[in-house]
Amino acid sequence: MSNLYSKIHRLKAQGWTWETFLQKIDLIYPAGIDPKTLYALHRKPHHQANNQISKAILELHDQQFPSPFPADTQALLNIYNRLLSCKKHSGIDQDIKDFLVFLASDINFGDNLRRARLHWLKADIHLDQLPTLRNNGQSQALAVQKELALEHYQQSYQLLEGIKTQQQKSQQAVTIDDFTLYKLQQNMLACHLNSLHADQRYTDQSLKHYLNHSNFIQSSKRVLHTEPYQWIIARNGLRFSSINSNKADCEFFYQALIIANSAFADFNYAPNGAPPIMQSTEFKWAIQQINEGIQ
Amino acid sequence: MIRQIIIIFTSLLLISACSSSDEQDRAEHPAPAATVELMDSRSEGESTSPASIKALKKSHKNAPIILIQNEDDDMQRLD
Repeated sequence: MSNLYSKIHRLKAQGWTWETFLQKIDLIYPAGIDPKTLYALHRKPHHQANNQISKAILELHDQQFPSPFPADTQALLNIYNRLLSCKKHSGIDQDIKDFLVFLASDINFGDNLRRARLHWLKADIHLDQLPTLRNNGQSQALAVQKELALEHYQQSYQLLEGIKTQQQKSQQAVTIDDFTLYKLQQNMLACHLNSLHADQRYTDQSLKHYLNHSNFIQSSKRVLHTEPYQWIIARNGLRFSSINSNKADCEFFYQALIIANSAFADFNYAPNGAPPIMQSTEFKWAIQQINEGIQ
Repeated sequence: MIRQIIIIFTSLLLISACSSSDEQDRAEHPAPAATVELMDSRSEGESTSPASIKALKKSHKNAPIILIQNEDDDMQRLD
């Protein structure tokens, strides 16, 4: 699910007036968009747009902030995402299996940037299997899919970090930014978290070990400094600070969440794409600390 | 004679009532057949050491891909 709230904020943060914003949308979607809808999407993370409006905003975002990856790899990712969202597609299992066969071969061709994106896509496919395998109690298959996802995200991370260092050394324009690397770190953490049932997430040692040996919390803070409207990053920061029982970080990310949108001051607020933090066991410790701080 | 007929009639009524209640119960609590079929044949508590993962990868190479049904508060991937 695309986070339209953050994309609209990123577009607006370029210094566009609302008039410019609406004109740019008109060029992509001649039917236009009601200004009130655009304002609502900018103001409320729970506001949902229809398909045409979502498509127009995503296209405008891609025009203004083009992906650093080759177009063919982006096209493959788009095909896979469309395949997943098509619930009525009867041969979906077989198509995903065939897709993996193709990727396993194609991943060996092209430059490092292309290969990094294909490793990323392959890891996505393995990550996407975790919730169902976990819910079905298929522990062995779950462990394998988790390891494969982590392996491919790690390879992608190393390749992209290498490209970034090389670009910095040769004083070229750096196309791989902190946020791109953060996304991979977040996905690696998702491999650990999504393979666990909610009641295991406070006590699982592999999750805590990864959290304590990665710079995920620092990277989250860095990205929020540049893009304070990224409520998903603030929410994940709060979740993992709660799991790690770190009071100072809980307070930091709770404040960051409210800066991203004041509606998050209410623990029962449900944005588009996530349940209220009040309903999620991983936030329990953080909520206790925040409530104690308020009293 | 009339007494026997009344006993038989009452018994039939009771049997019919029990049977209908049982059907209703089954309709309310269907057996989780699909879940049972999907459960891994290996035990839940079996540990998976890093060394055995390589071997498992091979054996699961052709494991069927199962559709995604996200529950609760799972992390969404970022691309």
